[in-house]
Amino acid sequence: MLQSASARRAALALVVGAAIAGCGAAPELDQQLETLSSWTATLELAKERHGAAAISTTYATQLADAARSALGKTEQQIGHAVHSRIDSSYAADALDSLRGAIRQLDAETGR
Amino acid sequence: MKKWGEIALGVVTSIGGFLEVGSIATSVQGGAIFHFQLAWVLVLGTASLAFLMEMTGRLAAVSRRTYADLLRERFGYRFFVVPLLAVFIVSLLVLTSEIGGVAIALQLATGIAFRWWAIPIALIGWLLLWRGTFSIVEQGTAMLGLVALTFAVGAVKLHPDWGTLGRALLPSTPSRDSARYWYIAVSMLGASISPYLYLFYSAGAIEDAWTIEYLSVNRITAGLGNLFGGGLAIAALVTAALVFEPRGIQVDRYEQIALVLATPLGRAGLVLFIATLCITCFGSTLEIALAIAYLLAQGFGWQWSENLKPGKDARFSTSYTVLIVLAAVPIALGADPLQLTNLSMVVTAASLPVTVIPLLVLMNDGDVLDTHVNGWISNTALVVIALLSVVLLVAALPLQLLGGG
Amino acid sequence: MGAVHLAYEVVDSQLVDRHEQKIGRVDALLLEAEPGKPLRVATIVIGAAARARRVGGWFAATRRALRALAGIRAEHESRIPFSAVRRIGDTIQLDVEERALESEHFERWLGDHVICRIPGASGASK
Repeated sequence: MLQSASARRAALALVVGAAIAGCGAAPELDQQLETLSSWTATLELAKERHGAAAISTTYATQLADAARSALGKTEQQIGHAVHSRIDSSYAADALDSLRGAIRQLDAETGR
Repeated sequence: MKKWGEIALGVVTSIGGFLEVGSIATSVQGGAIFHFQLAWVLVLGTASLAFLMEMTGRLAAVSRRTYADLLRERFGYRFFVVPLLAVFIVSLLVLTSEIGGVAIALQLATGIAFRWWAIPIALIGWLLLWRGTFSIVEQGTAMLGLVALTFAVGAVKLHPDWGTLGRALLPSTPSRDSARYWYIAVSMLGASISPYLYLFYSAGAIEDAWTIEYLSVNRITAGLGNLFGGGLAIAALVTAALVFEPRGIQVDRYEQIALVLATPLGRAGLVLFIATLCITCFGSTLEIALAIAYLLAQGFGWQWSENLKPGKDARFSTSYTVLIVLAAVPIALGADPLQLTNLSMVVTAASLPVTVIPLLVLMNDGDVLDTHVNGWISNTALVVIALLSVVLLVAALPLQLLGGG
Repeated sequence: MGAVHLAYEVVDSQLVDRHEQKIGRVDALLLEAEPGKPLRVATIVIGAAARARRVGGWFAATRRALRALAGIRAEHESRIPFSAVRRIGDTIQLDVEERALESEHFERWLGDHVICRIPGASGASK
């Protein structure tokens, strides 16, 4: 049990502070892998749709750019979430797939 | 005959007016992660909005005062400042999101970054408010907004499993990722039940000079219009569930959302999606800028009407002028429109008690409504909505921290 | 007219002038105390200072402090005798001219200096 009101307040401040700090920290590995595979799937769908003339090149290029910026952000953060060799091989695979998907969409749109 | 024309118009207004940036973004995000499971939230949100619109419309038709008028007159200035501030801040955020929605649509179409569009959009919107009348704003948005029906076509063409969808109309709890589930649920409710919608609606009833004879028009407009509008939001959720969910695509950026209709409908789907986003968000931009100006003018008793020349209601017309430009600034500075939309929807949900609970008092005040006070059905619904609004207020902040990341 | 419930039917009501133009709301009511005469409701006040006091002393004090910091001194407030009341109903009509009211200072200023400079601001109707 916490003895005094001030100790309780300090504990509360600690919990709130940790919660706020937790939000600012890099996301968990699972979440980052999910984001990467989501972008890979987005670009694969975009490539297929562009091939079928269902989306414009203007739009497909924007998707590739958005994916590139997501890739860049994840590349910087994922190191902090990797804690083992297995983790890092998962991360490397996911990053590679996204890079590949970006290259393929670029090729499709003639960049 | 005239009345039926107005009913048709009212219904069209709700269809065109219902689906805007918040509903599109949150419904698509929900469908992409949780398949059909969140459809019940749209049913709840739409039904709540239908009740709130019917009530504020009835209030205006019977008492010839808007909801904002009565908030000040019946509760006094000291209370009035609370909803005034809450609705002002929340609506300004939503206004920014809508401008962001139009800007993204233009970016998708042209490839020119969204931030360059913000100020031009604000200026064109302002020009329409400056020169246009209330019916131009209301009917123009409504007619053009019918392009949103594309979502219904897209959803049907994807052949959803109607049985599964039917079951999803009843509430259920998620098997995984519950923080995100409830976060999206709260933002979907914030997107459906926006205070600006019923403040605009009740001011519109006064602009259109509604009387007691319009009570049936009001009831049908609120009911049928929201039925269609909510249906379209469900259609957006369904398309996302069938296009994005199986591929594991989550929506992190607006750019991704446009793929949702290009899959069932091809090139037309992309074009119609961009048109829908652009038109519905632009319509909402006009309506929200007016709604905030109405709130200020009615609360302080200034001269107001969208049908007057700006010189005749200087404070009112200055208000929407300043607000629409101010709201464009964050977008012009490059704020992420999707994050902004999600944030504004959650804040909207949290703001609901201050506008919903007073309605419970007003709708049972015989001095205001005479014999047209709420019956037991409306009262039950309103109590449920009020309780829901309190739950949303309490849940919004923790969910923003846990599920909003 | 019978008895009028001041807090219920008068305070916060919409005010209109002779030509049904909206001129603000009843922000406060004042009693008149003259020596040797009974107190009577004498004045309707329209103005931001009166409104701020309704919210609470702290609100009025904050407002005063902010205005002092910004160097604003003029307080555009209208005090209208109760005898100018023509009708109490959905709105309260006063026997006054909108353009003559001090509380409409900002409306006039905006109209004359800002709004009228923008094309399309004036004319008979939209």
